[in-house]
Amino acid sequence: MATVTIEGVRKSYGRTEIIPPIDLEIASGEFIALVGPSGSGKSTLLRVIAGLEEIDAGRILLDGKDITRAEPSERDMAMVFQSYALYPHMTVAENMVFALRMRGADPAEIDRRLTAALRMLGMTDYANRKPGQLSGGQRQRVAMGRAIVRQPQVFLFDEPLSNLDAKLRAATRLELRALHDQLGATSIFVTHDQIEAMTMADRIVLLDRGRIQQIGTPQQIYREPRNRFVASFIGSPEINMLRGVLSPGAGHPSFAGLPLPDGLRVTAERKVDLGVRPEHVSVWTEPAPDRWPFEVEAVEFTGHDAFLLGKTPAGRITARVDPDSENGLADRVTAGQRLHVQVQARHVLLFDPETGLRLPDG
Amino acid sequence: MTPRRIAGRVAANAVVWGYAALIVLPTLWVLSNAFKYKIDIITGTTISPITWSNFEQLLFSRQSHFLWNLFNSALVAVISTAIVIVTATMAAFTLGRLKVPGWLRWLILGWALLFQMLPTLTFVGSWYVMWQAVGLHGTYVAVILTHVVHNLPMGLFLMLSFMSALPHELFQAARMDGCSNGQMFWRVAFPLVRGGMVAATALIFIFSWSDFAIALALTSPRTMTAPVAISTFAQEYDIRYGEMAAGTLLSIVPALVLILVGQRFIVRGLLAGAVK
Repeated sequence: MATVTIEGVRKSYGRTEIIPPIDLEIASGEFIALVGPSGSGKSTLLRVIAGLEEIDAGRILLDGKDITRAEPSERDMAMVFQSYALYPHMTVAENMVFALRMRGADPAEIDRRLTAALRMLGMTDYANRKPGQLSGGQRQRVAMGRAIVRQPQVFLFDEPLSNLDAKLRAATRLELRALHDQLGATSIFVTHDQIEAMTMADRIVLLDRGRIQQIGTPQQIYREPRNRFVASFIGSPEINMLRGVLSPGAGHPSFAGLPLPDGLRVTAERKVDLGVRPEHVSVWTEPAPDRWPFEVEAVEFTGHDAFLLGKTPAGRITARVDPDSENGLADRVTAGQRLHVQVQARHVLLFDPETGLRLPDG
Repeated sequence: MTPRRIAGRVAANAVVWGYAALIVLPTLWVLSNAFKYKIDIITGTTISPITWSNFEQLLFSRQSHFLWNLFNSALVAVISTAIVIVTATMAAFTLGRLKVPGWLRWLILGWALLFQMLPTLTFVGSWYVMWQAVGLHGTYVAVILTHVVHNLPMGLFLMLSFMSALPHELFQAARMDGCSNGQMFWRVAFPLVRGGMVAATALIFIFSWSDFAIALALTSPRTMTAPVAISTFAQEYDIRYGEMAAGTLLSIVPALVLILVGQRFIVRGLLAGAVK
């Protein structure tokens, strides 16, 4: 267990600045996810923490101790690589204990830890196989095992689930989180998959072009995004983002000339980006004063959800429909059909079109 | 199959067989000469009585020291190949896997490439003068070191391609696991490029074994290698075709064995890095 503190860390390759000065405080025992699109610097940041990349400025502290110049092996951190990076010429057991052997640990202790880790991962029967003889999921376990036997203060994960198929990934997510809780170490997890970040992390650090866009719990990030980027990046399907003028009107506020239902306090007229998630758009067959006309362009049925993609006078909108209710609406809708949508005003998020920052209501 | 495809097949086969014939037929002709009497060779008789006299002359006559020449060839090839492979593997690890300034890397590789591109004969004269000046001309040291110098660029490029084919993350993992550069080489890089080393060894050995230009200029009768010895059978008034052919046959054998053993690795070696 250890806190990791990143103070003003800056990293550039030649003239390209990958990470502008960044500050981050990771609490002891925390599971933190670094999320962002590719090129956001999340993997670089992880490698910087690991000591695999040198930094141009700033400090990295582990439990208050400066480790900025320490070798990767002296940092008491273990890393699980995206490609797993297992040594192909060593058996599973040899792979797992390699770090301990290099440190000259007591053979009895090595054996004890190996046995425990193999049992924990259900890999006891595979100890003498080479990585080439294992399936993708098993290799992933060995990579985890290699980190576990070291009993490090900090686990670093670099997209460790991205090479697994969807089903295995979902199962491994749970296992990994359970493992973290059991071991109690601090975990830093890099992913571009928002579902992984949302489901596993205590806190999410959302990065874009090296800059931290927001740090918060999954709930905070989803419900109270600081800016347009965060709102758009998190959530699937993506949040609906409409640009237009919001005006208070006479008692009933309107957006882009279309009436809004009650629930949104608007004090002055201004241009905004209006964000509303698909689940906060309700679909109706009958018109009403605060419903917008909606022409269906496509229907996506995913099993537990159905999404209607279509046009409104304010712009394109995706709306979620519960396939089991609303009178089986989802099954009857076809492309080209004209329906009506209502934006749930109290869930609307407003952003400044210039800065992208979130505006307080009204 | 359409006529065009058939024509294509025929053309492709013709090229392959033609190329094979270009290599195999002269070799077979030389090899068959090894078992012929001189008179049959000179008159160009294809089917003739078989004799072992050429081999007897080559191996046991007092004018010929062919076994000693074969030993010299082996000594020079084994030692120079060993030095080349060890040096090239370590250099490839350093250049390909460690933090080496870019200009130094390009300087070394560029120099090696230039050296590889120039014909051997360009250098032979200078080498002769240099070894003569230090009093080492005609010694094993001179031939072996010159072979090392001559074959090192090829070895370096081969080993570099194997080394670069290893995934980067493997070495990052090794660093996390606490490996020093030396341990990274011995425990991770070395075991994984062993196949490549076998391929490079086979190729470099054959280069050294079959070298003529360097050995001709730098050996004395005591250190003479097999290819040079074979050439001595062509004298002013008498070309001893039979002995030459027998010598050629004997000197092909080790190279042939190496190719058969290393073939699997050689093909992989030449293809390394071609497909990701």
